[in-house]
Amino acid sequence: MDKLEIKNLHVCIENEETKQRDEILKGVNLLLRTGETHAIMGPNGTGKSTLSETIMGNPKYQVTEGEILLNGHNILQDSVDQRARLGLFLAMQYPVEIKGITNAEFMRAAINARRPEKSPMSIREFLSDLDQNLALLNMPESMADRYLNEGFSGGEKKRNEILQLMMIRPKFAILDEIDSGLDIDALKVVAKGVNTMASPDFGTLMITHYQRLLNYIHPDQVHVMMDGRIVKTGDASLAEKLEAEGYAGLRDELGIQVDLVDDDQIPIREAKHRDDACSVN
Amino acid sequence: MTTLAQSIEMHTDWPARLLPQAPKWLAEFRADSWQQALNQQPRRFPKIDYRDWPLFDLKAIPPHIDVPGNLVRKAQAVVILGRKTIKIDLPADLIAQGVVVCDLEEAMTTRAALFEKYFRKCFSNKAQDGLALWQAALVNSGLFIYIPKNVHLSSALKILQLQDSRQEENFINLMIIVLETGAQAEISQEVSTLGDCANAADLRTVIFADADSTLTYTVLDTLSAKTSAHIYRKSQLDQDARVQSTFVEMNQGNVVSEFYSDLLGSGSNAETKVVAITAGKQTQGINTKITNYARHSVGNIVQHGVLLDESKLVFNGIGRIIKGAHAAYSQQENRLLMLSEFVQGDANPILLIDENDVIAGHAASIGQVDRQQLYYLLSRGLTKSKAQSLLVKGFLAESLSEISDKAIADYAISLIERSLFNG
Repeated sequence: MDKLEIKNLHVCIENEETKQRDEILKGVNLLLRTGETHAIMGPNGTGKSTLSETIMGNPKYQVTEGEILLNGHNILQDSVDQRARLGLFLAMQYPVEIKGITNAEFMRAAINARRPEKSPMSIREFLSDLDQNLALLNMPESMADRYLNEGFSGGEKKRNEILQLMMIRPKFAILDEIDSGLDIDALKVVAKGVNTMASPDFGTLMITHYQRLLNYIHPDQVHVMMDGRIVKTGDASLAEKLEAEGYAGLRDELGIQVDLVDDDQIPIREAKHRDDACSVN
Repeated sequence: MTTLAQSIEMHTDWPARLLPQAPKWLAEFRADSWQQALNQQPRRFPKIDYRDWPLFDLKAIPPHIDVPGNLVRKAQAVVILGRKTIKIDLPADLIAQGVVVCDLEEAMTTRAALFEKYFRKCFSNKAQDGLALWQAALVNSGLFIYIPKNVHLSSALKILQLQDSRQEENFINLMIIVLETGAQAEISQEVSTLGDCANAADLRTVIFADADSTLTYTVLDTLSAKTSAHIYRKSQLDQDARVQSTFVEMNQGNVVSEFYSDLLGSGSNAETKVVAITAGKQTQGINTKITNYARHSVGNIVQHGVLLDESKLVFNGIGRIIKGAHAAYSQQENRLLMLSEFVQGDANPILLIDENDVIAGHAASIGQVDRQQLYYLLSRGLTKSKAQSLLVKGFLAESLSEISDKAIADYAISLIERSLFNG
């Protein structure tokens, strides 16, 4: 069993307008094992995407405190590609478009990056895998020959992220709002792809706003993030409760002093003083 | 390093020594060019000072040329090593239709009138141009390709041209391509260097595309690091003629290149794509110019370059529309990708328009690898060098994907990958 452990993670990002560093994550703790499916939910602007990007090593995010351990090895000093080869995969909310590189060429390069240089995956094996996964995701074969995400609709991009996941077969997948922009049929297809991956050797961390994704990918644990921390953890019923009561109810129940940026029923509170951690480092 | 004037002073008999069997008109033409060159300076190239390159050093003429046994490959119809033509293998049916592919020495004897007509046209502008005078006087090798009226070549004519740098020798080469009315052809050419002596190369190709003719012309230049070169390739297009050129510049030494098209006939169409990679400390300057002289003529320039290490690359894209070229069309795109903080790149779009009812535009950019794109590829486990290599391939794909000669396209891509991994 593999283990991804996040301990007391504090993360800053530079504010492009003020040029000051804002602390987004303020002590996140999380343990994910292979064979498990976790969901992180929370209102906008609370740090969910920051967490996923930080785990992957996006250089925009600076870790000021804490650890990210993969089977006990702290990956914070590892580069993005090293982390990926160690078994992490991030299905991105906004995958970039890259002209001139075909989907198939890219995926084969990604697969071979994990193999010894002298034994790349055979073209036959690759194509067989690709055909199977394209069919499962209801994607036409022509998607393999199109340039990477170029001109893809929102739904096609999300499917393409899952296609890569299925081809690369990492140990842990972080799905950053994989449900956004999908209609119900596309959501079912994407969920089917993720569920196909389920095995004792694979763990999923889903980031989502909505319960509806969890109707198709059933989580073992649901975590709620607010103001840069995980404030509550429970089973799938927690997500149903949130769906019924909203985040404001949980905030008030827990007594957390935080503004919900999309909550028009709650008066905007005065801005809190930021932690000093970012301005010091 | 020797200047043009010094070379002329020191080697008054040089033109006669290079092609001793030249007919009288040619001998006189060359001697005259040599004399005129005394009064001309090599012209300037924007942003490239090539005058201290050893382009005008004349070397002794080696008496004998050894031909290695492994040079001849079946796929190539023509193989040339330095001054020596090693192979010309033209299908019998094309010979029967009047197609001519021969070296200059054969052309000046067996196709004398035709050769003289086009040779003179190749240097019609020499009076004001020291570089053209130099070439006119000293051409020592080359090819004459003639495709008669309405003849269509069913497969690509593949040419391998090797600069012989196994010893010190000047490589001053002329290729004349003539497509008569309605002719169609595809020509792909690989220009490379054999040996590692420091030499100069001076290459000139002139294409005459008569009315309704079509040419797809692909060149992969891979001259060695010890070769300083001047490359000049020009097309003259008559009514409704079409010339689609792709120049892949993978030279390793210092090079100035001129890729010109004159749209002389109405409805003529020239498309010039340039892909260039510079590495080490080399400098490459590329002037690509399409001049619309005629109504409804169409010119397109697409130049994509990648700079590595401490190299310098200059793209000058010049679209010129002459007064009277009504409804002409001129577009160009010049883009450079910098992969090192020590490189120098220039992408200069220049539009010179003397007519009103035309469509013209340009795009230019100089930038580094997109960070978001790089992050995306890294997040899938690709190493930085592999990710960069893919991004560069993607950047160059627009030009490379349309090369119809797959062998040249694949070879160009393998060279690009090698450059990137070595870098």
